[in-house]
Amino acid sequence: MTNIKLYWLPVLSISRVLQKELISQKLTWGFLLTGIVLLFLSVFLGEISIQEKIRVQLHIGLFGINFVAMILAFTLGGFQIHREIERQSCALELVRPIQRSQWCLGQWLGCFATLMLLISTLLVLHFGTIQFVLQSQGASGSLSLQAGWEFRYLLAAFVTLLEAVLFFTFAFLFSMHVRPSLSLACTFVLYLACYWQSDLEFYARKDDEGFFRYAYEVLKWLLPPIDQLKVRNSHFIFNAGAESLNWTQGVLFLSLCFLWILVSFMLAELSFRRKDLV
Amino acid sequence: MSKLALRVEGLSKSFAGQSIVSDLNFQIPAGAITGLVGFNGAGKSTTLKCLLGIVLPDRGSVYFFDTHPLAEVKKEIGYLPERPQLPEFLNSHEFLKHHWNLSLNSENFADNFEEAASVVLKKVGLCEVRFKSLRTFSKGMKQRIGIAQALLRKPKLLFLDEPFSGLDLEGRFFLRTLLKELKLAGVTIVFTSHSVSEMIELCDNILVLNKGRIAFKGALKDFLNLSNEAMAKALAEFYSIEAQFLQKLGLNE
Repeated sequence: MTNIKLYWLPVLSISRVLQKELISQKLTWGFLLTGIVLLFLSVFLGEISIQEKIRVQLHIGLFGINFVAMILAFTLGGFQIHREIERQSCALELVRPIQRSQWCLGQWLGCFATLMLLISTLLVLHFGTIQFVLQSQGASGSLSLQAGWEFRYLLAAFVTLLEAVLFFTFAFLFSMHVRPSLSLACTFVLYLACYWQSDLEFYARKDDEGFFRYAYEVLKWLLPPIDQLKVRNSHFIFNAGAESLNWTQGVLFLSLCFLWILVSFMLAELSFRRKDLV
Repeated sequence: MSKLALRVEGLSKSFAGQSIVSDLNFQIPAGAITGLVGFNGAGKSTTLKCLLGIVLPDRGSVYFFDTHPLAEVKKEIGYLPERPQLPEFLNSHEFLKHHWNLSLNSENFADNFEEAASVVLKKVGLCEVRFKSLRTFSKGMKQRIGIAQALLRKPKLLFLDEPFSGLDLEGRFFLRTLLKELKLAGVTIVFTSHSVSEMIELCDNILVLNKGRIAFKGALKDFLNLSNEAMAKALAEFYSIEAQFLQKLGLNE
C-alpha cells in the first residue's frame, strides 16, 4: 500500500502542478472562449433557422466543441514535453528520486485532466443551452427531441472526450521523436486518415490488382476505428433511439480506443526513458 | 563517511555526431567545493547533466559516494540548473511542497514539510515572502528559492549550474556565504561558473574543461600557483577592495 502511495504521490503532484499551470495560461482561456463563441453561434444560427432550431444548435455546437477539443489535444500533446525540456523545469524535477515513467505519467495526467475539464465545461454549457431552448420553446415548440436524447447526448459527449484523449496521446507520442510542429502535422495526418477510412475502402474495392485493397486491409488494422461509431452527430441524438446502437460494435470500439491510448502512452514512455533532456 | 563524493570514468557524450565531452575521468572528494571551469561550449553543463542522468552518456560510468549508482543516491542530491524557469503560478510554499512530494520515499515519508520548508526559507532569507507568488520575485529571489528547493532534503551533494550568473553584488555575496556555510556543514558542492573571483574564493578543487576534455584537474592552489607572490598579493588586494565596497553597501559586516 505504501509503495503504491509512494509511486502515485509524485505523479499526482506533477499532474496537479501542470494542470494549475495550464489553467493559469491565457492560451487555455483562449480555447475556452473560442468554444463558448462557437456555442453562442450555434444558438444564434438555431434561432434564425425556421424549422431546424434544435438540430442546428446540436450540430454546430457539437462541431464547435469537437473542433476546440481536437485543436487543444493536438497542441497539448505536441508541445508540452518540448516546453518542459526547453525551460529545464523537467531537469529540476527529474533529479528528484523519481523515475522517468512517473514524470511522464504525471505530465500525461495533467494534460488529460485539463483537457477533460475544458471539454466537459463546454459540453455542460452546450447541454444547458439546449435544455434552455427546449424549455423556453415549451409544448408549442415546432420541434422537440425524442425521449432519451439526454442519454444519447451523454454518449456523444463521451466519444468526444475519448477522441480528444486518443489524439492527444498520439501527439504526445510523436512529440517524443520529432519537433512540436512536425508532431502536430503527424497527428493531423493520422486524424484525417482515420476519418477517410470509408473513402479509402471505397477506392480499395475498385482496385483490380489487389495491392490497394491489401494496403487498405493493413491500414484498417493499424488505424483506430474512430469512424465506426458515429454517435457524435445531431442525427443520432436527434432521431435515433438508443436501440439503434450496435452495442457489440460499441464495446469493440471502446476497447480498441483504450488499447490505442495505452499502447501509445507506453511507447511514449519508453521513448522518454532514453531521451536526452537538452 | 565516504572519501569520494563522485567518481567519473571515461564519460563521453556526443550530439548529432559532434563530441561534446570526451573520455572524462575525474574524482571529487567529499566535503569539498569543486569548480567546473571552461569557456562557453566547453561541456560544463553537459557534464553536470550527464552526472545527474538528465542527459544519458554514450559511454562511461558515474559512481557516487564510492560505489553507488545515481538511482541509489538521488535522495542525497540537490541540483539547481542554469536559468531555471520556475513555475511562476505557484508561491514559494507550494513550489517547495511540490519538490517535497517528488522526494518522498519510505525513509522520509513521515518528515515534517513545514519544518523543513521554514529552515530552508530562513536559510535563503525568503521566510517573509513564502506565500507570495514566484511571479513577483526578482531574479535574485528566484535564484534563492531555486537554492532552497535544492537544499530542501538536506543533500550531501549539491550541483549548481552557473549559480552566480545574473546575480547582483548582494546576491553573489549571499550565495558565497551560503556555500561556505554548507561546506562547513559537510556538504559536497560542485558548481560551474565563469566568475574567476568566486572560483578563487570558494573552490578547494578545480576542473578545467576545454573543448570537452579535461585541461586541468586538481587543487586550486596548484592551478593558480599561489606560491607566486604577485598573484597572491593581487588576490588579497581584490578581496580587500570588494570587502570595503560591500561594507559601504551595508552587506558585509
